[in-house]
Amino acid sequence: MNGDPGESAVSAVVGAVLLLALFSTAMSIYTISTLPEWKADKEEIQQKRVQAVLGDLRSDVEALSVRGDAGPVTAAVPLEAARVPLLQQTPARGTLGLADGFGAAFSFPATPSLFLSDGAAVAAPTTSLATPPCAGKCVATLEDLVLGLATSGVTSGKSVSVTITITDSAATPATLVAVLSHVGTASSSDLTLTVGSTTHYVQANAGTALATASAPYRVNLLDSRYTFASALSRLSEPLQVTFATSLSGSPAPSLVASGYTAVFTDANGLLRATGTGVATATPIPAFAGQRLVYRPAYQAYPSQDLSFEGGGVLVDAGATTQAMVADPSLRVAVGAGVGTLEWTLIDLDGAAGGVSGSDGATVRVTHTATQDVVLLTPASCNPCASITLDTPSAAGWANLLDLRTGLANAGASATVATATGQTTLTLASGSGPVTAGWVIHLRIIHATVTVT
Amino acid sequence: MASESAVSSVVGTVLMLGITVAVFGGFSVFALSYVQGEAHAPRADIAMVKEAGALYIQHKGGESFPARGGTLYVNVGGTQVTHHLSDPAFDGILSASWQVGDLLCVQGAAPGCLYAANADVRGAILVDQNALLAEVGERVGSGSSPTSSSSTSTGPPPPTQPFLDVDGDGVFTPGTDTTINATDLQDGSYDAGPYGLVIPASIGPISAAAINFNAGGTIVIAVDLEATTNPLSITSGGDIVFDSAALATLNNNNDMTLTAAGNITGTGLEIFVDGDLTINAGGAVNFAEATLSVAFSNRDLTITGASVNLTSATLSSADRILVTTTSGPLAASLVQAQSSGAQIWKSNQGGIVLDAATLDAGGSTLTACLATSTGQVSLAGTLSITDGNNKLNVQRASDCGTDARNSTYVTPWNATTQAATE
Repeated sequence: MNGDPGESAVSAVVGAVLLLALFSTAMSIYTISTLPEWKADKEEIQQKRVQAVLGDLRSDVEALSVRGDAGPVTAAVPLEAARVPLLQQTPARGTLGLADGFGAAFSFPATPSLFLSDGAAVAAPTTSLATPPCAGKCVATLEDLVLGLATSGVTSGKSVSVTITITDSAATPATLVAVLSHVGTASSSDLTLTVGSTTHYVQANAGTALATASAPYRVNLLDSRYTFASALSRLSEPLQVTFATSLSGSPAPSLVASGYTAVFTDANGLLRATGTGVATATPIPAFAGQRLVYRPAYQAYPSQDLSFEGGGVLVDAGATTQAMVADPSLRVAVGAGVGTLEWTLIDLDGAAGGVSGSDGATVRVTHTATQDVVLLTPASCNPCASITLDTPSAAGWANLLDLRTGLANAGASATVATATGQTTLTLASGSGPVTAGWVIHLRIIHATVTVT
Repeated sequence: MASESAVSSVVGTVLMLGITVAVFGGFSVFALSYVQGEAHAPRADIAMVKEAGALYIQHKGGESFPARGGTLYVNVGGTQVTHHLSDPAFDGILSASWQVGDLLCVQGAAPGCLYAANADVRGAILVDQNALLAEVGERVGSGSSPTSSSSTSTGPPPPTQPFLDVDGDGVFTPGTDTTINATDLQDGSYDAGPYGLVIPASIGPISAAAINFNAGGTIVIAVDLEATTNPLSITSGGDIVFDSAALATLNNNNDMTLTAAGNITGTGLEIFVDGDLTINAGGAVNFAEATLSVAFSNRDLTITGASVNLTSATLSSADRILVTTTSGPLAASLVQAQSSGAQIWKSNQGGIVLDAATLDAGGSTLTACLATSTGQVSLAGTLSITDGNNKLNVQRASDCGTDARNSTYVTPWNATTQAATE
């Protein structure tokens, strides 16, 4: 030992080996235990980011539809989780792309009445102006209000007008007044709208051709072309609606026919329709569209697909373990024997394929068309209507529909059936909680998607 | 020989290296198994959604985790109700593990929901592995939390002015509730009509010749009340809630009466009465840790409720103490009850718990009365009995009557016995 350089060297080597082993052990423990937690944190954040972006996409597309705007709207989708500094060479990435597989079919075994299609009354508005949409202040939201007028004897200097007064629930009632006038002297056939400080009115400078019984004059007061709709939106609910007619000129012209069709949500949250519809067996066609799917390949957090389809965002952890993480516009309510279903579905179309990489992806959505129908089923029918969704995320949709119909206490009047790749919502009326029929408001927004 | 020596050195080094790696490898395995075996909060997206008439919890992505280990705290009408998800009541509602899409309905019209759609569910908290998984709505009390984290409390701030609680939510809602001038309460008399009444601590104590507060809804009192020459009476069509309050009547024969159609809650409440003290609730009476004192002779301390909680309370009466439950348990562990007259602890359903109680009836009788054969009187722990015979009667309620002074001892009590049942 003493003075033997060889043995000294061995001691140094042993010390170095011990230190190396200690360091290796510490790093092993850290790598196996702590690093995955950090990775999982960052990957969970990535999942939430993508989820939020896809959820925002729904409201953006719906806004395009409401405005009647083609768009496009764009969204930047991150495809790579943040990296753990120094210790993680390659962060988790995912792919985003369109995939086939979301379709909807609508079946009406009992022919429903079609009230409104794309905001226009299908049949001549027939409900008398003397009986406004709801007695008293019970209109929570006025969805559509279509007036129909047929006049005779409206010649130069004479006019027929209908005044619509809407009063809100404020302590000092705010009132909007719309005056719809058919003035015989005007030459233009276009509608114009004048907005005053206290009075908003639609004036029809219509020719006599529009004032005949065979071609009644119709106008949807809540059409986005008129600012009356936006003024109405500022009133406090519930609302009271009244109508008054006025004939001007000598000899006075006559109002041959008058009526309205309205769709509104009452103070109990139920969708109601007044007026007359047209029996239509196939009021809305089926569609077969696509899904926008984010497929992550995480290293620590569970790799669960996110799909934007039909207007909702779903997470997919397996064929039967799926959930809606951002709900579509869907509302089910039952009260006083009336069932309400309001549902906006988004139909995506575009070239299939995916994008991956560290730079993220850009989603561009263009609104191409919107179908908007309001239907009333017969009071006694079983089934009255069924809506079938074909999608790999059928379990997630069934989960949502079960929840919504359950919370609405729809009971046997709304049932959900699911099979592999398919979920069906069936509505019935007559013997369950719903005895007076279902009011169904369906909006199908068609859009084209590109992912780059 | 030199070359052999070198070989020996190399062999030794290799052996030491092997031993070192083996030792550290073993240590690593042990350490890793220890680290990985630690429980951690589930990394899952648990959504708790509250809508009109509905509150539900849903797993919306992330890890699956055991569903039955958590605890759900629900704020029902301002009272916290604790649900341990391991309870058998959840057997048909929850599976063994929370997986993506799994749902628990806390409130709603659908079958299987814990509370009906019209229940006064104000909020809920789900805790698992000591971690807050989800929370929605308002917490019970002024920001108190069942978890260590209180910084995320969404509870409303305490009110600063008395008000009529028109919407009955216990908090001041501008445009709906109506404030009251504090001076209108200082004379000790106020009728809130059909609404609730909230008297915050900020207005200070109320001392008047008589105290008489009535309300169709819940009454919340956070001030001291003193009736100087006449009785004190509080009557509610809903609940009565005392928050750090003290009540007193002065002068002889001034009674105090608290009556509520719902619950009466006064944890830590202090009451001093120079007359009869009568507490009558259609719902539960919760006077845990309260001090109730009846000083005048020939006056009783009477408490009646669907269920009664007097855990760790101190009761004293110059005459009798009569405690009765109509449909629930009578919980009085650690209670200290001293009376000059008889004591009757009576439960029509649910049993009586007098664990480690101190009961002193002077020379009169002590009686525990049960109405059902399934009820049980629990007397576990060190019990102190002081009456004429060092005994506690345990009887069926039908045999008790309203006055046990003449009742018969059916179960001799020996103070050294640790438990007794009917």
